[in-house]
Amino acid sequence: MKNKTVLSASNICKSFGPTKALQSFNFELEEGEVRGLIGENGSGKSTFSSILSGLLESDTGEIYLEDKPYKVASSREAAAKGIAMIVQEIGTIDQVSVASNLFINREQIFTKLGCINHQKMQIAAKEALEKIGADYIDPQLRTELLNLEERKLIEIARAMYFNPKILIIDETSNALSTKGRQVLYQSIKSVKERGGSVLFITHDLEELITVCDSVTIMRDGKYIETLFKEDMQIKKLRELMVGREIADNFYRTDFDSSYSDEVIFQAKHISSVDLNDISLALHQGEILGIGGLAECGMHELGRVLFGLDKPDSGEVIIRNNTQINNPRKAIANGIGYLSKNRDTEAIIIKFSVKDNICLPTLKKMSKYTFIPPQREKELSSKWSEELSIKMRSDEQLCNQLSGGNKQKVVLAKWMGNDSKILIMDCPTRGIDIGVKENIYKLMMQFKKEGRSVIMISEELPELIGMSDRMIILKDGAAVCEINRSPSVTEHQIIQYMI
Amino acid sequence: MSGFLVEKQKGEGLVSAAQYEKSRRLRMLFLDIFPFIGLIFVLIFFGIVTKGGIYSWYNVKSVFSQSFLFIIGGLGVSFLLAQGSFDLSMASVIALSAILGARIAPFNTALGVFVTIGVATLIGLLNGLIYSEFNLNTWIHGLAINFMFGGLLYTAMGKVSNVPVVKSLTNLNNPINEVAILIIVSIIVIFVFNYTVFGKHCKAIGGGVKASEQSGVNVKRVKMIAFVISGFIAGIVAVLSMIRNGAASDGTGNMFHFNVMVCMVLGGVPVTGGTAVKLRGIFIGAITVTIITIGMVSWGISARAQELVKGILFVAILVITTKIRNSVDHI
Repeated sequence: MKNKTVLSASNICKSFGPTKALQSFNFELEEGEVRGLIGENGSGKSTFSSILSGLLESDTGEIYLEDKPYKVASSREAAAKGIAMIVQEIGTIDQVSVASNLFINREQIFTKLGCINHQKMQIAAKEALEKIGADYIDPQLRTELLNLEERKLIEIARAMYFNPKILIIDETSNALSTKGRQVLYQSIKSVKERGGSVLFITHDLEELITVCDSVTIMRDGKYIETLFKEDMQIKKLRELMVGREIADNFYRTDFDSSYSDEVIFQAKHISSVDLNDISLALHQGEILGIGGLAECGMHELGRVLFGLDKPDSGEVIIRNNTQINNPRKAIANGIGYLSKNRDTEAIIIKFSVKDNICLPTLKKMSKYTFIPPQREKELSSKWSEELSIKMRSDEQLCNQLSGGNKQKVVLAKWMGNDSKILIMDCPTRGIDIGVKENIYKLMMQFKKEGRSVIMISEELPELIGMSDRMIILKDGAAVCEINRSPSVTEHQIIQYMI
Repeated sequence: MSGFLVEKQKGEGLVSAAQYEKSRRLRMLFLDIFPFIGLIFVLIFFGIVTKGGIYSWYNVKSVFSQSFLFIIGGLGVSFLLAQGSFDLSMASVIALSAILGARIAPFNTALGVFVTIGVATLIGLLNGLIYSEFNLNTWIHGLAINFMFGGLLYTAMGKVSNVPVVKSLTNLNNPINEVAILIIVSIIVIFVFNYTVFGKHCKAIGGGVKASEQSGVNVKRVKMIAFVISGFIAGIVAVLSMIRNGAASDGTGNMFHFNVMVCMVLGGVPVTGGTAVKLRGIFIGAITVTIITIGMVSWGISARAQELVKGILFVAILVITTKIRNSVDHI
């Protein structure tokens, strides 16, 4: 049965400077369809959805909504025409109440003679939250008091309140736990039941296959193919995304999980608000994986291990019995840290590639406080070549690099400082498959050189695929330790996590 | 960023990568030479309206003598500027330390100089401690400190209209000494700013506090030292103005930090800090401001109208540089 086409876009082009984000992109969406949209980073998914929701304006091309020409200049106009979007970044404002966030730009509904009737707005807010099953959130609270997931739920509630014809969801599930995802899936279902359509953007292919009726694959800003239910297979999707055949498994293939017996770094009985008596030992040449749910405390543990946060009790000790209690000490003892917040914590976005790479090594480079510019140049060109960072020159500012290349800069920074231990927090978050493969290779090379890695990750396949040993955290405590073996499955680990 | 707050980006049209790169480079180049263009424009403009009247040896000397203290003061706060902050307490620090120094100098000249610089440095240290320990907003904090010491000055000493400075100091009033001091301070600051760990760490903090901390920058200490340097140089400025004016009063250094800030704006120094802070902006800015002032005086513009012209000029410059800087960032 062929449904009515609700949205059709043809020949859409959009450029940002030299980058062609969309090239003659064509797209059709049917009534009652849940369509997935996938592609590597920079393939144009977000650009397209931003054009639909009025955040961006296309250079050329035409869009029709229910056979009428569709052109909007703001998300407000888009919402009025029935297209609502949940954005990838945080789309709420911290300093105002939940209710104000829910009805931002729509305050006029509650306005009489220029004054907002707050009571009415609170009631409506309560309704909006109930509608998606998130009524445990108090609409009077200031939004900054909520966690990431709750803020995302507010956005979902905001999008759902006005019964959108088309709901666009841009990589939202990353920020959600199992419970939050259920809310999201339920919302998708209710849009579909009303005869509306959904455009669902995600990196998680398994999720995509369960949620969507069909999927459109994009690559380099171009339309590649649309697959329907029975043709949607992970391997096929992945190949269409990358545009070449890729190995089923880009993790390490060996199960030789040997490492030296020598403990080079350890944490003893770490306790804090988020952590509960955690002890761990890292050996020379070991890749130690730390996993769990997003809120399990593993990210906080990473910060403690690097000396960024002080635990209430317990200590972090490096080989020669030096206690690590600030990042400077950690760095001086050969530890490097990759924060999961790459743009704000791991690199200085407005610094050049060179300045970023050299920053931790400046002290070592200086002769009687003088830093010879030649040495900076040498260090930066050595490591940017070694990691093949894509850039015009090492004077280029990092804010112009792609996510994967920024992560390479962070790695170059720590390798340039000759780090012996790397603490990697979500090392491949938001990074496309090509660079992911590079990072895994680098980890193996690191291991072979007798260095060690602590990998903190929310992605189980990568933990199972790369670690010599895994520690699983739940509610701030270590619940189990698993050694590398071909028989470890995700299912088995999830049991411990929840 | 909120989807509702994102500024809608206009369609940029289809252009080739090479063209785009070229336009980006041009804008960057323009940002770099903007202050030079401004300086040349000002020189030519006032040359024309005064029919060449400003081109005189006398005016060259006046430009030097009027911009001299601002350049030294600007160099003193440059490390704070690199971090994206500023020292707004300079004016009352200069007044307080100059008065104390001028009172002690008759007994022992060296001690007088030492006290002047010492008091200013100590206040810098105090500033730095409060600021780095409590993580304050420098602008508001600096203003508060400025009021605090201004208040201290009045309550402890009453109205100080004129403390004469001893002959042994005023005898040093001579352009050659000033040039020598300017050269020494400039060389030291330029070296530390561009070629040392401390200088680079200051810029890193301007780029991002968290990222700097995670790269091994001792953020608290670097912030504190920058304030100490600013205080120390404010002390030097106090001594220099005592030597030059032959007296210290509660008006010494009045509006000093504002004038320094004005020089920064004209020199194209961004208040947000980071690697975009270039020392040459301080020199060019100070010289440009002085030429504008001298030019307007020679042209016969009244003092009130001068303020108006300056105000309009600064707003225009801020708008233009901010716009270009943003457009470069977004490419």
